[in-house]
Amino acid sequence: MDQDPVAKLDAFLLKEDELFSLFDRERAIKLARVVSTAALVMSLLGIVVMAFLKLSQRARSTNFFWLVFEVVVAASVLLGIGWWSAFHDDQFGAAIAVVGGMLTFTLGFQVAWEVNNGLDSVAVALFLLTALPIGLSGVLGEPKLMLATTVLVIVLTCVVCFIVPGNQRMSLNYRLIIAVVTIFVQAAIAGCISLAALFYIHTLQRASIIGEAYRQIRRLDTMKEDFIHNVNHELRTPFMTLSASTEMLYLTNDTLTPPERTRYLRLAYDATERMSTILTTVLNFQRTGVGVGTVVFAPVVVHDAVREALALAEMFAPMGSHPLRVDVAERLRIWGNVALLQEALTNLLTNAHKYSAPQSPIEIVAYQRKALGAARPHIELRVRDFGLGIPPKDAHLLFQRLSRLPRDIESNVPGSGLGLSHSKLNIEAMQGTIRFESTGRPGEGTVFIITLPTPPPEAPASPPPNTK
Amino acid sequence: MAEPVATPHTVLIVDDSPELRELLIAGLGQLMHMRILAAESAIAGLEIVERESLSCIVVDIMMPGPTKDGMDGFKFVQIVKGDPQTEAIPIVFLTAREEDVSRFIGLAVGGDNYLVKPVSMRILVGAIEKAIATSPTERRLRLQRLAESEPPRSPHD
Repeated sequence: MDQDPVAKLDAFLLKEDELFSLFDRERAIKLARVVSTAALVMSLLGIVVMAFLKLSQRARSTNFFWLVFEVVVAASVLLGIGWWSAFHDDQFGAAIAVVGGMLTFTLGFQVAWEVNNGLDSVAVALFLLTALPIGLSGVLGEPKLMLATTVLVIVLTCVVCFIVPGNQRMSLNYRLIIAVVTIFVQAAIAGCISLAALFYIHTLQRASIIGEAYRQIRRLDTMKEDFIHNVNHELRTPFMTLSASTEMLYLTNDTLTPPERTRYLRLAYDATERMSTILTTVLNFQRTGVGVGTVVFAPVVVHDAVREALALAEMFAPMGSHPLRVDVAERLRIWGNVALLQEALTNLLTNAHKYSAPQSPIEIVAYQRKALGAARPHIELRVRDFGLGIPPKDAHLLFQRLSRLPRDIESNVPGSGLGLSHSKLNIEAMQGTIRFESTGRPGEGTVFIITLPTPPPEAPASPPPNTK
Repeated sequence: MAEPVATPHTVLIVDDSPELRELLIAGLGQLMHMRILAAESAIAGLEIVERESLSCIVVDIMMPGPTKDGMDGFKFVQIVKGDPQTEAIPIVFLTAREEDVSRFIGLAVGGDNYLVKPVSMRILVGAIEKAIATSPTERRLRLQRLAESEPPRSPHD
């Protein structure tokens, strides 16, 4: 894989705003081009229609006509500037010019209409002042400010039309029409700008989802790298023990006493055992693919998973010396991945074997429960041994990767420090939890409690044939 | 430390793997005819450093140790090199950490050699013997050269 694009994207995400502005810029330019073209065509159409009305003598040369004509021409000039800016990749200039053109239209028509109908000039000035913030807040992308100014405009319109004394001489019908038209036009502008803002927010959200997904992939990638690094490190020490003890056997074979020879052979054998444990963990890790982020969910029969896990645990360590008490009803099913569950269980079982006296029992119990307020019941799976237990002071170490209890390090119990952390990863990948209870007193042992969701109602009743 | 040549050299192994310690005690004892001591953590190692007159220390870097605030090999070497009584003891790192940065730090804190596991017993013996034979002047010169060189970049840079 070429590393360059990844590095570029990394650098990009460091400046998230840049990513957002890119998404925003492309959209904005497209939007500005469409809107400015439409607005310019409409205003030019307005000039053509008015010229036609005048030339064909259908319109009278009143002040109202000329006022409207001037407004349309002024707006067209502004919209022309907006159109030119939009096609020269200056979306900010385009936005200002187009909004300016639209405002000129709206306000011009209002002024023309209201002057023609003899409204007070104070009222006209009020409209001019209050309408401006709408356009500005729209350009600045502040929907709340825009909403507030729109409400203000509507209230002021009502004040001007119905309360300002100078306007009381107008007939109520005229004032009603003016008020309704004004409110309608302002609300339409506010609506258009709100829609644009919503669209803008939607774009930002999409960009942030993409960014988050990418970051998650990077996190998983780092986790995988860490894992490989740790395994590499974990393998080197036993490998050195193995190679150096065989080297000693080879170099000094003639002079070695039988106990010395046995010692080197034992060291070599122990080292291969340890390496094989680590390799099994790694291969399982590869197989189940935790860390890649894709877990195939299916209903899993808990009873079968327990049986398989027991068989697997038997391969690592003979479980025969422990009386087994298994109480798992055959109808119990979880919603998860059979390989992940089996591996976690196998790990708990080998641990139970490793840390308890030969004749002490091991219990596996599962039952269904429904928490108060939960949407669907869950399965609780308890694996109990009667061994050494976990000292409370070391509880925090238990699920940590590559960490082992001081007691086990001192007493030389083999282990990779990967097992429980790996089990936890598996269970959490299936949206479950794993915890333990232990008094820390030898003989009272430890209970590991796995909680996993049951299949959702719409899930297929039986597991697919090839889930392993 | 001017020691009579006749006294057998004492080498200390500091490594958290019990198997490797056992192997090195037996193997190095057989190949070098030296007295081999071993410690499972940096703290236990420092106790031996204080007590014994050592000719060389072979030390691991990553040692969790029984205590939560376990000391790593770099810290251990810094303490040994910081004490005028023990600063002349040659140090050989024997570690699973293969990164250039670790190697650089190992040599910069005063290691004579930096070996990455797995390493052949004969190479380890050679490194220990060479470290014992290195004079303080040579060591100082090498550190000086290292200080003038370009430090390696960490992969996370």
